Amino acid sequence: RLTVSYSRSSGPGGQHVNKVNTKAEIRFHLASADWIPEDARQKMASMHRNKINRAGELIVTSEESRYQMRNLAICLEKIRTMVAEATEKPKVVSKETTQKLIERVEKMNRERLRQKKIHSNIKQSRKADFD
Amino acid sequence: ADMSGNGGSKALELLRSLPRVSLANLRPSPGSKKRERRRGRGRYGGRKCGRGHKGQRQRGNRPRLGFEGGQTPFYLAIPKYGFNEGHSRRRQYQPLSLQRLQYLIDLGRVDPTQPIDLTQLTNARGVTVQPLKRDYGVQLVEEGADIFSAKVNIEVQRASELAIATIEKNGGVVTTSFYDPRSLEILCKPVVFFLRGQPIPKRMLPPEDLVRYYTDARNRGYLADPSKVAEARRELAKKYGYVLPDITKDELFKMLSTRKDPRQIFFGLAPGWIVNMADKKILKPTDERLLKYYSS
Repeated sequence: RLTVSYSRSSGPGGQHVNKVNTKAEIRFHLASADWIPEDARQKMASMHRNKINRAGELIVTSEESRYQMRNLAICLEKIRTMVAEATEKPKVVSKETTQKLIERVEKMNRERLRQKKIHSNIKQSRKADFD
Repeated sequence: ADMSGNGGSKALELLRSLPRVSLANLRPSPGSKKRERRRGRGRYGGRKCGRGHKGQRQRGNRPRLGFEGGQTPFYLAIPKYGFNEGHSRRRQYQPLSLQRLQYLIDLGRVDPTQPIDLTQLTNARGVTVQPLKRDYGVQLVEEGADIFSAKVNIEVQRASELAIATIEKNGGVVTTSFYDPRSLEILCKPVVFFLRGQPIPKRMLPPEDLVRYYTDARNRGYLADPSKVAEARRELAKKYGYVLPDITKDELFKMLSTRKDPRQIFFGLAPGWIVNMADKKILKPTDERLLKYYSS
């Protein structure tokens, strides 16, 4: 269901770069990919809009390594991370935790003001006020 | 003259008719031998002879390499740190690229229908291992991973992930095993050892820092669990995106699955045996204490 194609990479490298197909490219039609859940598919379509062509195919390329196999592995890894990012749910914070957090913040503020008042009393007690 | 006759017949006819090749008829191809520059001769090589004008340069009195005119030189200003400490005591592994392995198999120097061992590689003069120079064996390198296409059962001392993946993709089997220096010497030069008349020693187990490496299924270590090795094979196939060929259905499955015992050095011989080259006989120990020691 994934179309894999190999081509020659760009960049310096002399004869090896010119002759050997080391760039790996994977294409798959995003809308008809049934192995990805529907909402993840839509999320991917919006996140990686720049990587989708007019025919609706998501293209992933890799030319980082000298070896075709490693480039293929890198492409697959990229696809896996894309799908993982698209499927992750936003963290749902429960009511109790939000309340706890608010209580913590209020307690900190109260403590801070108390310490401030104590400090102010100390400073005032040092004042020599001549009546 | 056009030398490309039918099967080189023109060349053969010429050979018959032309005079004998001798020193008087030979000449190097034009452009291959260039005249050398000799100093002190002619307008350009002579006069100051490439030494400059006066001073230390012309008089040959320049200070040593690295001297910076009195400023603390670079190689003394930088503090020492143990990057190269103990480099002469570190384990070295002779690299064996997949390209070289393919080359050897294609030329017929190494037989892919038999398990490939360091002895096979040394006999084929594919690699040269120097056990006395802290070499601990051979490591598999990925150079030539795209071209490799041979189904082999290889045993090396270290292997990188891509190399393992390439060999398994083509239906082969990789194992990494440890040889202590004495066993390595025996493995590389078996004939010389047999002529000594000593019994084959048992292979020692790896030292502490290598035990972890050889019990890991990802490195296909010889001490690793076979079920974990199978799992690691599937994982690698998933990672590199190839279909893992089922070697159990292969006709050479029996050969591909032959592995050495952790205490064994050679495939057919067990520790404790003496090989007599002159009489072409093998002597095995009969004393039960010896048998107990060698089979432990």
